[in-house]
Amino acid sequence: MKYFVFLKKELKEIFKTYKIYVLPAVFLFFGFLSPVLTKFTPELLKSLSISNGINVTMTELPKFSDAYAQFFKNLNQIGIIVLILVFMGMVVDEKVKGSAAMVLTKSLSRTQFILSKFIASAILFTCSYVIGALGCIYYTFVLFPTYYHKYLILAFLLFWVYGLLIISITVFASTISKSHMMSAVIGFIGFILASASAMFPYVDKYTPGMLCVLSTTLLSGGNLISDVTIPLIVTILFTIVFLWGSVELFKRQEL
Amino acid sequence: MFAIETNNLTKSFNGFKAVDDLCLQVPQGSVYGFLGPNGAGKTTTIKMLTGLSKPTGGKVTIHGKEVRFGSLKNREDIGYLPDVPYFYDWMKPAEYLKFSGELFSIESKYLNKRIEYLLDLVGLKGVKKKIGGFSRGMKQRLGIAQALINEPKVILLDEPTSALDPIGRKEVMDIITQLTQTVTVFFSTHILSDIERVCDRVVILHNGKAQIEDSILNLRQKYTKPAIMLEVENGIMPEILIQTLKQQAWVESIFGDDELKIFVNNITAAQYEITGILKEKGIGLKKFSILEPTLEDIFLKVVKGK
Repeated sequence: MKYFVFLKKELKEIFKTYKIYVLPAVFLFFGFLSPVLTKFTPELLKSLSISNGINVTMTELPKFSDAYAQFFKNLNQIGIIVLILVFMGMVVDEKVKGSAAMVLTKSLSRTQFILSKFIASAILFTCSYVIGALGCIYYTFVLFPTYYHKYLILAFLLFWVYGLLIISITVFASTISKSHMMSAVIGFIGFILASASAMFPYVDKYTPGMLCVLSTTLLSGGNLISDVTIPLIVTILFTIVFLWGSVELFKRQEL
Repeated sequence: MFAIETNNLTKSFNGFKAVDDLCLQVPQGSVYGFLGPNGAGKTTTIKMLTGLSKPTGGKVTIHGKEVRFGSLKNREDIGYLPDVPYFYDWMKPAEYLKFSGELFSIESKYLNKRIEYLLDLVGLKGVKKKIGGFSRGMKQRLGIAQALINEPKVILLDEPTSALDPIGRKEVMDIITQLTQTVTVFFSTHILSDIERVCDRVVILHNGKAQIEDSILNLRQKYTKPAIMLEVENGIMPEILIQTLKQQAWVESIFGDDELKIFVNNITAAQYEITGILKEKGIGLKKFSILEPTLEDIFLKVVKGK
């Protein structure tokens, strides 16, 4: 029971602060917006081209998979940025303000402290993501003839794992930082590297960034299910490494 | 067995010794004053006692158990209040105490009674507002309550009164007075009157080193000399008077400008002769009082070498 006391506090804190509104709202916004943009962008472009006398030819009508691709693209940009902004202070704030020193002189270990932070953040991210995903699936269903693909759940699951990696990077950044700003900078560098790893020559298809790409291409038929295994394992391993690193470094820090 | 024992405790930051070979033996059940000016190394020492900071050298034991950096071993035995306690602003006082008690796995039924008792002790019973709306004094009192939640053997209070107004200070000192005999209180401060009011023993720390360690009574007897406070009629102390006093054999040292504090080695001689000197110089007397030796005198001697 003792092991869940700090996690319970973290979850309560999420409910008592702005975090409970921001993340679900942002994810839901993109969940609704992505299918709408995908559906109506060609029509918008057509009407603009007519009024400006430019001839725009649409080679292909947007498909339901484009709506999901748009959703993942939006989340991998603004969604993840908001995620980092919401969680970047989780450890550093408690260190700087001194509340960590007060709880860590009680029977709370530093491992429990870090893992509780991660789990609480992951729970909020998961709930927000599910809300956004359901919004996206619903609007895709409303606006397109079909919404289902046999890899639909897998595609959403892959981006979720990628999101967990970003949270572990944010925990790590927050643990090693001495200020909020430093945590934000390290968190964003980590995110950029994770995201850009899909463009690294030779290793691109094994990287966490590839997981993000796969969540889109699996639905459009650009990749096969067999391409998933290695980047998925690599991403999970990176998540564990960042968490382990956070715990070990935090254990060595004087408060 | 001592409540707290440190052997050659040392902490260096980039070659600078913030705490230097500190050896302390804090008796069980005592209220132990840890006195020193700002920057003397008080907070650094307390952080090593709590296991939040790693000593560069030496060791700490609390009730016979060695304190190791980051270890959970001593947590049941200690309660800690930092100099500026920071709570979760969204919590209410009883909620924070419940959270603190649950971290120690205290059984719920007992914990509720303990919370009630502690809130009563620190004067926060019935306070329902969130901690974010608390004054500094209220936060400090709640800080004492949370430090006592696990019924520790030793409570470490880091400057509990330094940021408070006189009313807040009095409230906190009243609580500390009530703790005597129930728990060993290790109490750092730079406020001498607080130490004099509640402590049995005191150590004076300066530049990371323990300068003097003894009971308050012994310190007064050993280190303080009788002193006389003198004020003259028009408020301006004539230089001739100061010079004449300095020549007297019974004068040890003189401090002050408008109001003189004269340390003497023979109080009787001083009592008789000061009035004579004033009469001879034609100076009117406004105030003459014999001062009780205070800890401040010892402190000034140690810290400023006066």
